[in-house]
Parts: sequence; C-alpha cells; structure tokens
Amino acid sequence: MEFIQYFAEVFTPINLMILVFGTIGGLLLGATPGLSPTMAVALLIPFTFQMEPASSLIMLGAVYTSTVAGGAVSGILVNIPGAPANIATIMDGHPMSKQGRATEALHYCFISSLVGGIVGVLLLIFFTPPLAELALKFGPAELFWISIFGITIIASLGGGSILKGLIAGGVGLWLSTIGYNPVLGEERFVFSEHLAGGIHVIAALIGLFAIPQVLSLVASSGLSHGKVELAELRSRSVLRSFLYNISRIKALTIGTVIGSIVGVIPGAGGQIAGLVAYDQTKKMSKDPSKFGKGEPDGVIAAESANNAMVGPSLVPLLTLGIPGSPTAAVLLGGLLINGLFPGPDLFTVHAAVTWTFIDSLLVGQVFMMIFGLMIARYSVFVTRIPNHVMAAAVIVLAIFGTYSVQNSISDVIVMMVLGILMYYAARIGFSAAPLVLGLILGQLTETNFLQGRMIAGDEVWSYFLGGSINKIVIAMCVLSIAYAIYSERKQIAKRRREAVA
Amino acid sequence: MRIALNRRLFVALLVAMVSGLMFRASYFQENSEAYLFPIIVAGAMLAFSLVSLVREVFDLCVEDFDAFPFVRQLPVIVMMIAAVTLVEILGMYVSAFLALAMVSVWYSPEEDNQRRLIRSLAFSVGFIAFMYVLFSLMLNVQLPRGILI
Repeated sequence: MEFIQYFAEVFTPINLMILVFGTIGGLLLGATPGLSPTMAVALLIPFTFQMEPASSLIMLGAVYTSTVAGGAVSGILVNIPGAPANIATIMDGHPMSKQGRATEALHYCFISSLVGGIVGVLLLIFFTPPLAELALKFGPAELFWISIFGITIIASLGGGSILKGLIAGGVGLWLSTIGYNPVLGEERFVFSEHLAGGIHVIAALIGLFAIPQVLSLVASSGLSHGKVELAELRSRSVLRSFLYNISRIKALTIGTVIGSIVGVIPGAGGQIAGLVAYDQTKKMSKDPSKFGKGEPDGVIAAESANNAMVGPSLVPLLTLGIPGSPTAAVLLGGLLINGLFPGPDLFTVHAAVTWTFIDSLLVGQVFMMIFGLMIARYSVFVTRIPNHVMAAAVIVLAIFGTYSVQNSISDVIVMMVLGILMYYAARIGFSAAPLVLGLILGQLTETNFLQGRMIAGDEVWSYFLGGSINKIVIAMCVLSIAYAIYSERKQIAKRRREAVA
Repeated sequence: MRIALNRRLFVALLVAMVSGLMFRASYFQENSEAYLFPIIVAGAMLAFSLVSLVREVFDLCVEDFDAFPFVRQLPVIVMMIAAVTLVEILGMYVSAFLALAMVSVWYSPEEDNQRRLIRSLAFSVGFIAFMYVLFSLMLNVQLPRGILI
C-alpha cells in the first residue's frame, strides 16, 4: 500500500495545477481530429524539460489519459473520432447524438471512462511492483531478449505485414547506433555534422509522429470538418446518467476486463481494446440488433475498455521497458529523458517519482470525468479547426519543441528529415511504432548485448540462448512472429477468395 | 493489378537496397567490434527485405498502396525546409511566422483572396505571439536570433 503515502504529492499546488492543465488540454487535444494521443504526448515532451521529473510525468500521464477520453466527444457529436481508440465509440455514440441524446452519450462516455480508468490504474498499482521484482532476476541476456520481444510484438501487432514491421524495428535499432558505441565509446555513422552525438529520441519522436500528420492534413483538401452539423446538447441529470451507467454492469465489466487484458499486451493499444469490447458486448447482448442504432451499452463498453487499457499498458513499460501501446512507447521516451529506467529501481530508488505519477493517474481519472462533463459542449468547437490551420500550427510546435530540447538546429533538421521519410514509409506499409520502439530501446539493447558478450566470454551462444527466462522470451518472440505470419496468410487467402468471387 | 504489382516490386527493391546500404555501411569498417550490433541488425534487415522481395516477385503479398499526393504536399515540404534554413538567418520567430503564414495562405480553401490573407496573417500573428509567451517568457528557451527575431 506504498502508493497511498504519495497521494499528498499529487495535491501540491504545482502538481495539481499541472494535472488540471494536462487533463483539460488532453481533452481538447483528444477531441481534435487529426491530433492523435501519441502525437500529442510526443509534442508535449519538450515542454516538460523544465519541470521536476514527477511533475513532468504527471503532465504526460494526464494528457495520455484524457486524450483517449476526449476523442469520444467529436466522435459522438460529429461522427469524427478524435483518436483511433474512439472508433468503436461512434458506432452507437453518434446515432444516440442524432436521436437528440448527445448529452446522455457524453455522460456515459466519461462515466464509463472513469470506471474503466480507475480499474486499469488499480491493476497498474498492484501488478507492477511484483513484476518489477521479477525483473531483478534479469541479466543482460534476458534484458536483450526482452527488448527484442518488445520490438517483435509491436511489429507483429501493427496489422500490416510482419516483415515490414520487423524491418521498421530494425531501422529504429540501426538509427539508435548513430553517434557513439555505448560501451566502447567509438564514434559511428556520423555521415553529417548534424548527426554528431546521434539522433535525439525526442527529435525522432516528434518527427516520426508530427510531420507525417502534417503531410496527411495538407493532403486532404478543403475545410476538414468545418461544416459539421453540431448535435443539440440538451440538459440531463448527471446523477441519472450515473445510476443508469452503473446499472449496465455487464457492458461495463466486459469493457473494463477486455481493456485491462488488451492493455497488458505490448503494442495493442486502445483501438483494439474498444473494438474487441464493443464486439463482445454486442455478441453477449440479448438483442444485438440494437447495436449501431444508439445502444448505450456500445458506448459504455467501448469507452470503459479504451480507458481501462491505459493503466495496464504501463505495466510492461514500467517493469520491463516494453510499452503496451504506441503512446506508452512515447511515454517511455519521457521516462528515459528524466533519467528513469524501467525496472525495480523505479519502485525503490525513484519510488517517490513513480508512485506520485501512478497516483496522479488515479486522481486524473476523476478530473477527466469532471472536466470532461464540464467542457464537452465547448470542446466540440476544436473539431471545426480547418486542416491547413492545424497543419501550420503543428509544424511550428514541432520546430520550437524540437529546438528547445538541446538548443540545436541539427535536431530540427533530423526531426524534419525523419518525419518526411516516415510519412512516405507509412504510405507503403511501414509503421512508426516499431521504428520508434527500436530507436528508444536501441541503446539499451546494444549495451545489454555487448555486456552479455563480455560476461559470456567464449560461451556466447549458451549465455544468450540458455537459461529458462531466455528460452521463454525467445519462444514468445517466435510465437508472436508465427501468429503474425498465420494472420497475414489468412488475410491473403481471404483477399484472394474475394478477388476470385 | 499489374501496375500495383510493379509498384510493390519497386518498393520491395528499394527497401532491399536501403537495407543493403545499411549493411554495407556497418560491415566495411575498421573496428568491427564497435560495429557488431549494427552489423547484426542490418544483416537481419537485409534478410527480411530479401524475403519480402522474393514474396513480391512471386506475388505472395496482399498489401497495396495508393499513389502519393506528392504534388499537393510538395509546397508544405518546401516551406518547412525553407523555415528551418532561414532560422539562423532571420531568427526563429520570423521564420516560424513565415512558415505559418505561407502554409495557411497556400492551403486555405477560402476563395476570396483578401479574406484568406487577412485570416491567415491574423492567425499567424496570434499563434507566434502565443509561442513567444510560452517559449521565451514562460520556459526561458534561448531561441536563435538572426537579423530579426
């Protein structure tokens, strides 16, 4: 129950202000179509440099949590999900809105998010320390394989080609070797003066997530969502919605349980959580035909799932350094920048920072519901921001944010080049998530690999391939790749059948 | 179908070439110990990209992709590059203002030129003022100053 003693830290004036600001900002960013939670967190990291580590993580955590819930606002009111995690929400949220029940749908959205979010963070609180203890048994070989497993699974769950996912992960790992060898200190691959010292993780994060978004925004012509029809927001008692929401215990439980499970699976993310929960709730419903026509259970299941995913997605991140979602991968960058390395040290040496951060996630869930209910009606206006304005603003934020990290124009150039290349790579089926993870974990992976080789001496193979933990993690890598190949083959067969038909 | 296949094949070839270049850059080095990890990574990438190429040759893939809207995106790419190039000459705020104004004027769907210009300039001035308050006054970041600010 160590987490209880750090609650007071969350309520210091500065941390409380950051939490409130992060929650409101996250809700608005989440409601803005085109700004994904991952990009929002990546753009925000430079702003947290001046802060204390705990405050900085509170800000990032609040934005992560609230962008996921905020994305439902535009989804419900104007049928445009603010984030991929909210795709399932709009299936019934928007029909409810068209029936004049927009306020009711928004109430269910934030109340379910609160329930799912709190359960998710409680899982994080109770599961992380014992898992972190387990990580104490890991030596360089185990940590090396854990990093490879993280990249493998995020590559295989991307939904596209597993080969492209693995190549993207490889590119990330290779890019992380630019600069210096972490053990021997020798300079490598400094093809240009701008690469001296290597590629800064934050510059890469901003480039890989923000610049492709800019290019996508300008590619879609005209006013993006400027002429949307705003649903009427009738007043409705929150208490009435709360009581009804709690009475829908089946949908709430399915959403929360599925969201928590999906969250722990590295690389999965809120989109999968919401869609699986929605699908299961529909299948288990007495009358599945109501779904898609304004059934509150659809909103409740999807929103409780995508917020329940947030806490558990941090379990593998804080214990082993494997992010449970792309946004958690960016958050890993934030942790490393603050000198916090995943593992047991987080709960011993840095216990105050870690527990304050986790406690803030719990408090943040309550704030998210309160502010969400308060500002939902106003946050819809951000959906009317035209694409070109959004693109221009993101460019400037990306340039300023990247520059402020090390006061280096080279970082800005690297950010821009990586971003432009990433956009075109994404168009041909390469995902940014494995690349980013490779880049973030690259140095740790190489350090563990080289240290392992030194420890092993002449017995390198048996050191890296022997030992029960190594064997289990290698088996998990093979399984994740095998599963991805199986899914891809099934997809190919299906497409071929459709083409023949 | 044939066009799509050729496009995919071209991409697979390109990826294999890039992987090959990465492997070459890693392998042909004097101190191989310092390059061991990149050699392994680039070697694995090369292997994966060759498998991918073979799959494309035998048409075993399912993915396809559309042509890039490159013409529409070219102006914003040029504007971004220009902004970064001008930072050390004109200063961060001026080059950022120019980038903002140019992107919002160029991509604005507003048909009335005067309204488009006024709206874009007003937005750009407002946004740069916000960035000034945030970065220079609140965060105390020292931004590059050129002949202007």
